[in-house]
Amino acid sequence: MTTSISKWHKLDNSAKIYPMMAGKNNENLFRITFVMYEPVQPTKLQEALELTLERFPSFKVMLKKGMFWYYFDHNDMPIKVYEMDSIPTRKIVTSKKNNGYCFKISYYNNLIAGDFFHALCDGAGAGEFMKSLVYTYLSLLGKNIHPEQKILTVNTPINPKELEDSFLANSRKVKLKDLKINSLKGSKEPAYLIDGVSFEDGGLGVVHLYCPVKDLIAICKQKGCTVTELLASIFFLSIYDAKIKGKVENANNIQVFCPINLRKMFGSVSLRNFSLFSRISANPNEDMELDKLISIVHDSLQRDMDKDFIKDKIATTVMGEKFFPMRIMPLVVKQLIFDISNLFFGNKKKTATFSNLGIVDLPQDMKSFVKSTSFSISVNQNTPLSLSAATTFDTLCLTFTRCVADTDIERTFAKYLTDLGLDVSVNSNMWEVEHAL
Amino acid sequence: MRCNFCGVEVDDNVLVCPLCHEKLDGYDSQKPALYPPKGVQPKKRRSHVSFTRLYWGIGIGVFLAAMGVNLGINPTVQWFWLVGLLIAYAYLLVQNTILSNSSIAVKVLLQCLLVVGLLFSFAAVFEQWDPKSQPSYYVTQYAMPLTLCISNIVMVIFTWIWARRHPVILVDCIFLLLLGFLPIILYGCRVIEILWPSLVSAVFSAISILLCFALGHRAIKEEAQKKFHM
Repeated sequence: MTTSISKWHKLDNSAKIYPMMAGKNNENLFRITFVMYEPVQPTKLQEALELTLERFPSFKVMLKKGMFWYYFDHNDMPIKVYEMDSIPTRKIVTSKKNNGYCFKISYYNNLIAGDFFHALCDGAGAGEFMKSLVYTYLSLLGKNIHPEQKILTVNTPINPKELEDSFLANSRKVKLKDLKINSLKGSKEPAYLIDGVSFEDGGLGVVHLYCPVKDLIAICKQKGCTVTELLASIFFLSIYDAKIKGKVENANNIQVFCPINLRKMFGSVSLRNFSLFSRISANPNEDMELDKLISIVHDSLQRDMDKDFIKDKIATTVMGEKFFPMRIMPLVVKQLIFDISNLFFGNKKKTATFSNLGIVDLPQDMKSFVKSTSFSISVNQNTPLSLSAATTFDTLCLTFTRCVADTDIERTFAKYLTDLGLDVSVNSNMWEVEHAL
Repeated sequence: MRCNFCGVEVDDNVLVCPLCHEKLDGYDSQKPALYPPKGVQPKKRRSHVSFTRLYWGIGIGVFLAAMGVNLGINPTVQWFWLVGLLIAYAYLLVQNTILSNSSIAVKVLLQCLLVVGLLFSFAAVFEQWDPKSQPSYYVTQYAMPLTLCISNIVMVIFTWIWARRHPVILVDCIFLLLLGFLPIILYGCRVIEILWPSLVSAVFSAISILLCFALGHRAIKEEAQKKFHM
């Protein structure tokens, strides 16, 4: 724990955009939740958080404005765990309550939830932090757990590579004329936008679908696809069946954004952002069948996961950051340009986001304490629904997050899973129904 | 419990199916819910909006009344503009300075610019009343350099108090102090004719900058690295 760590650091390449995007009611947050078998003890959780934070210097920071870019400065202010509010967290960075920290840990009954600002880290980085927090919490409760090298415990030495900007580390030098700007360009077509009645109170509806991961893998083997491909395809079908089929003529393409974790591909152990988006598009005016959609999703992901293609993408985004006029442009001007371009071009090329966090790999000793984990990502008025997935032990948890009232897409999705022979269980925060809990 | 409509298993802690909202049998009120119930709603930010609306409603009313009185009695000296400017200034003083989260440097700079702007506006109105008095001349020669100097004194005091806890204030302070050289530059350009107020401002700025460097050169270097991504 004596590694010399810089007391401030620049935002990583992909994080630079998030503070500019952070609006008054939407800060690009995502949540990782651990459901425990026993009720959470707040004092122990508080103690665990303080211990864990010392192990993760990239989380012990506050966001500040520089002359040209935002940056993260070391934060020595006290950190607190909160009892979960009935309104889901939508503000952390602009909130005065959190002492400048870009994440917030809360609890309720058996839940331990971490809300993270995307500029700080991506799902994989936050997952490591939450695993360590829950491990420390259980250790403080006197539970004897062998970490099996799956947890960055408070005693694990800090690896400086955990703090690296893996975009910069894996970027190759290219000349301006060799840049492949097209690799960043998406479809020019506007996407089909999900409509619905928004919650008036600013709340979010959350629905979790749980299913046994072994059965799901067996189905995927039958169909010759991955879990991500199958789930994304069912998501396309659910949007089509619930919102478009027989209701909308000549609908725009359904475009789902799917983040790709680049750590394995580049051997990175960074706890900061290191993922890129794949844009998957399907025309709802053509045949929407599961097998055909699996093939579309497979082709899109294969194209976007090609290492050379990704290297080009990284080189282009890094070059954009290092471009001299961009470097000397004051932050206020960048923000102004961003706001104006957002006003005119907006985020109308995305129907929804589907993010699969993958396996939250916990030691076997934790199986008797942790029931499940879930992962949920933020939504906004243009893309009011998102789907995310996380797998722990034998259970896959799919989480739908939405700022609109109706649950048609979730219901259709669950029906597809049960039709495939999966045993599905459901839980929800029941935001759309008064007095349901 | 099982929802017969959706064919999914549902926890016993809800009254209706989360997917189809049909009523379920077997609700167990003792079983704790996964999430907090939809309870107390967050307070809406109406108070802020209503204060702004109320202030500007009354402010515009006062401005229009002042305009009516002014143009009705003596339209040659249009002092009603000053009423409007003072109303706007009071709003900016409260909302953008006293209640704002901005850094102290931004607040001091804003107040400095507003005060100089107000002084020039007052001078313009007085010139309508008595053209021979040349109030704009006095504002340019004396008031502007001295306002800058006073702003810098305020900034230095805040820096002195806060520099240990918030070393970033040192960099902000130096930037603001650099503005103190503006009057002497304007003197060099012959915009300002009287030397001593500009000299006072420049000397104060120079001494303060040297003091900042002497007392906190390490902190300044570190904070400058952060601010400018060096």
